[in-house]
Amino acid sequence: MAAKLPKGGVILAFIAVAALVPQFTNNQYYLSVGYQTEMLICLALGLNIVVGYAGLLDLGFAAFFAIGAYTTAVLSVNHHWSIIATIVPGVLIAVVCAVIIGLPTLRLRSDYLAVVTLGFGEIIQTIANNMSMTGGPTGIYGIPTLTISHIVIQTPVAFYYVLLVLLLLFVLISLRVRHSRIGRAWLCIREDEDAAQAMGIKIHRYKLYAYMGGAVMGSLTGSLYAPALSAISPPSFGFSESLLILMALAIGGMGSVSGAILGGMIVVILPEAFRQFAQTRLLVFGLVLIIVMMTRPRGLLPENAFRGFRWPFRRRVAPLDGAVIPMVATASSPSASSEEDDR
Amino acid sequence: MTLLMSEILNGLFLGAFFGLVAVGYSLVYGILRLINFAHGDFFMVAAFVAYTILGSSIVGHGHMVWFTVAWVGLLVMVATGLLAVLANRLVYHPMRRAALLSLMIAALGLSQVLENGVLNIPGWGSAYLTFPVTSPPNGFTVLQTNFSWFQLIIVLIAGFLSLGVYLLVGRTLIGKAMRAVSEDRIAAVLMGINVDLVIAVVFFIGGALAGAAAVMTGVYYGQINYLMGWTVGLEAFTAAVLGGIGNIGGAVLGGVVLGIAQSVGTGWFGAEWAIVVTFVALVLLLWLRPTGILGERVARRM
Amino acid sequence: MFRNSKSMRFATSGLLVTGLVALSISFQAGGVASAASKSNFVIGVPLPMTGAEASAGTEIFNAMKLAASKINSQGGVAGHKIVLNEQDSACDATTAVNAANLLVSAHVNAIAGEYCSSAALPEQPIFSRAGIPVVFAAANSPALLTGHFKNTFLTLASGSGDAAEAAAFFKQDLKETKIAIIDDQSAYGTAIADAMSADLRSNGLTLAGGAIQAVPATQTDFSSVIAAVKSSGATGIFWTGYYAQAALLVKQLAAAGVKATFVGSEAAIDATFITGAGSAGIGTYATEFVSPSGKAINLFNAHYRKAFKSAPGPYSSYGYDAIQILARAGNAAKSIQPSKIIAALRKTNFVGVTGRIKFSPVGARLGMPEEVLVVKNGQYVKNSVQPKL
Repeated sequence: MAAKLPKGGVILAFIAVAALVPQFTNNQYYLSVGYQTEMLICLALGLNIVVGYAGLLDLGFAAFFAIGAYTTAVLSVNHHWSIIATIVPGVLIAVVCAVIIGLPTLRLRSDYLAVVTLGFGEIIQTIANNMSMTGGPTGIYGIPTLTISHIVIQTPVAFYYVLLVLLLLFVLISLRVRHSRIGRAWLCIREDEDAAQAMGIKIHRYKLYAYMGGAVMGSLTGSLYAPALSAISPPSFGFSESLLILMALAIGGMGSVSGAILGGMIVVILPEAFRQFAQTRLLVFGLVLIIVMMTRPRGLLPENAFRGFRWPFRRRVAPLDGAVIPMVATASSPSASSEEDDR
Repeated sequence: MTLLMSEILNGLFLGAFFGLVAVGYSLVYGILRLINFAHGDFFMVAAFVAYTILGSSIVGHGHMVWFTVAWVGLLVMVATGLLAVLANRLVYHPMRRAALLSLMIAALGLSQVLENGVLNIPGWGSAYLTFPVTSPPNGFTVLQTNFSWFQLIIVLIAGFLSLGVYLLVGRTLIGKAMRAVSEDRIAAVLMGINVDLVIAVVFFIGGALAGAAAVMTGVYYGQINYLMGWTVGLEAFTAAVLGGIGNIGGAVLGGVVLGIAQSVGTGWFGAEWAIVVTFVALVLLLWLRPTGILGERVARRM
Repeated sequence: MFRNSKSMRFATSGLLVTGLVALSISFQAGGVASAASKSNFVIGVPLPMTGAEASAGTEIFNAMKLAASKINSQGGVAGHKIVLNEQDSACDATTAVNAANLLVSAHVNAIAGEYCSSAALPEQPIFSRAGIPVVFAAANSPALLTGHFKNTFLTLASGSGDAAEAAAFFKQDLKETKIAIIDDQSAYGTAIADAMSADLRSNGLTLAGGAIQAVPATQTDFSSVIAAVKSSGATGIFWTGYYAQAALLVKQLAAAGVKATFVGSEAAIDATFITGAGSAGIGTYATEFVSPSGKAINLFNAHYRKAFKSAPGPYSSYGYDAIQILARAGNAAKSIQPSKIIAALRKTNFVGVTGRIKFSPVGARLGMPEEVLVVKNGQYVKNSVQPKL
């Protein structure tokens, strides 16, 4: 518990500072980068439930983002729903999709799960690109502004605060759920699936809960982000978006809320900060990514709640060149849980 | 019916490409358990290197061209193999104690660096470049489907290379070392196997195969672009998983199955739905056989 | 060392964030400085400089630089020097929104640019709220006009003209009745393909295979689509995607033994197509907007080659004209104030390198007649059999 306090403090301080940003600048560009950062952090927090807490590698998370954004866009533009009202169907569709994809695949090894989720992301994008209801490749444009009881959210400042509230909500959920019964079950599954099962945790059910939880958060973010963009089209929801979210999480630190926040800031702000280098900025971004991973492989703000916990994607065999490890490590590290479904 | 047959034949040809790149994916995965997202970009860099070498004045005329293409192909294979070894040495090797997910993210970073590196090299850049040597279209007809002789050569080379790797892994000492490292790294070290060397060899083979695929792609399709590696890599990754990742024969088989699934899917539903057909087939297959088509051996090995 | 270094971890992360913030602030300071010098006519240019469409973006921007330096050498716009402020939009909605907000914050006088409609659409309301005139250089989706933004003008007419011309060409000149349509699943390609599908019907022609064929823009192997086209018995093929894939398609069609006549839309026209398709490209057709005198465009092509050591892209000339349009509007209004330029843009009427430029009340490019080109002797020439109108 003692370890939690300073981190909670850091997160609070971050949100307090973030809330004050518009007091210092009314520069439209800063604020639009600001709400995009918040959007990405929200998505990273959603993915954190799936990958960080439950240890399920998901390469198609942008699909849920797309489901939320498209549901909102279709219902508000074609059927004149208010934006707020579209959130509910968006979340419902996302949950149904999560169950459809999750039920058959959550028993797979994590590599296979990765490719199936990747495929799901591609499928959602392809559907959006091919259906006339979703506007085909042009997408949907003229998405109305968000109104919350007569307050019209239209300017970057307004979106900045709306998404900040969502972010705050996700942070609270993430922190609270982690220490709840369901959160402990997730961490337990992530650490050791066999042990979790032996303890009586219904692992498939809890994995599905994690997948559904991530879906809800992704869809919610999409619903609120669509009116900020005003026009959405399939390319924004492809594999690269899924990877960006995953990158945010990996750079910041898997399973760590403050990590998701820092990671989200880096993946959005860094490419923007190097904007004047147009063609070289992604080169720099790639280099930074490699350097961060080489020097801090567990992320910049790794989770450290459990002493000596087992990292979900740790390689099956202990490191080679350590003088200390071999015997003990081999003896004490069972074959990774991810391979258990091979029987 | 003839349409279906010709779609299947086309799929077989496509599968040869997917398979060749997929073998590289699968090899690296088998040893390191790493999904090497940069693998497709090794392929892309190889295509650009071949473009530059073939574009310079050394290319002869008439039949000499094909002689040149052959040795440039070998040269590019070696160069791409070395590039992969270098990437391993600079990025993956220092990270060998890190979590696999960190390695994967580093691979994504490397992929970005390679793509945007090529984008920033003068003379390469973002344009669609026309390959200096392209294959002649004359060929033969099977079941009302035209194939060029070069397509046949591609399939033969792909098959030959895959078979070579298969035999290398299955029948030679270094292959035995690879299998040992893949099975139990610690035990392999204790048996006196030079694990770093084995890993380097695996990266070299994977890179060389991607290089061969790149030269053949350039000559056959005649066009290259700095983003060409991404799609190929993704398809190869899917093929590797489909066949049972970590398994050489599986990778080739996965490539062929994926090629046919895409081709037939296109014929039935239209190309816009091909990727949906592919992935739905993949989900169904994994649901029935959670370890891929030839995944059994992998499972037993663990 | 790492075990007990939580404080250090915070310190490093803190440092990193501070560094990032400092970086972006220093960058922004630069942006403000350039905008503050009020004597320049600053044109914001959102274009894809990274990602899959980077080459198109670069080619358009090069042409814009050419136009700007020419106009500046002739005394600028109403006494002000043109300065281009290029921002990467990567053909991605999120990046485009940032680029647009950045340009608005930098107080640019006008916007010229954007290639992808998917990036132009989310930019539009931002520029509109700021009251800045926008001349889209190559983005030409009809969707850009349905919002009735008063500040929007399209340099490139919508692609439906391509379809109408091609349908007439198939019917009257080639006398082909069974036409296959292949698009590249892009916003641009599908719009023309849909228009063509309707034009075929109104001309009494049949759509081969009963449906439009499509290939994803990343695909390089068309064998399965070609097999479908072959079995549909099509005698004509209309391709609505871009030149790079067109070259591959034409080659593979020839290799598969498909004899159908190939007609591309304007996006298929590029020097890369001729070199890439080789012998298979000879005798293929493409529809294009008529340029009134070949001289202007030839001069432009020569200038471009000289300046950048490469051939201009298919939309370079539209980028060149987008800058010319703004410059003329500024000169006519004798001002570089956004609102006055918008008013002057409505009265645009001059002959640019892409032909006569006039706008409809909603901002669409008016009156662009079409023609058919054929590939002969390694270049595009006007098809000698003129379609009867």
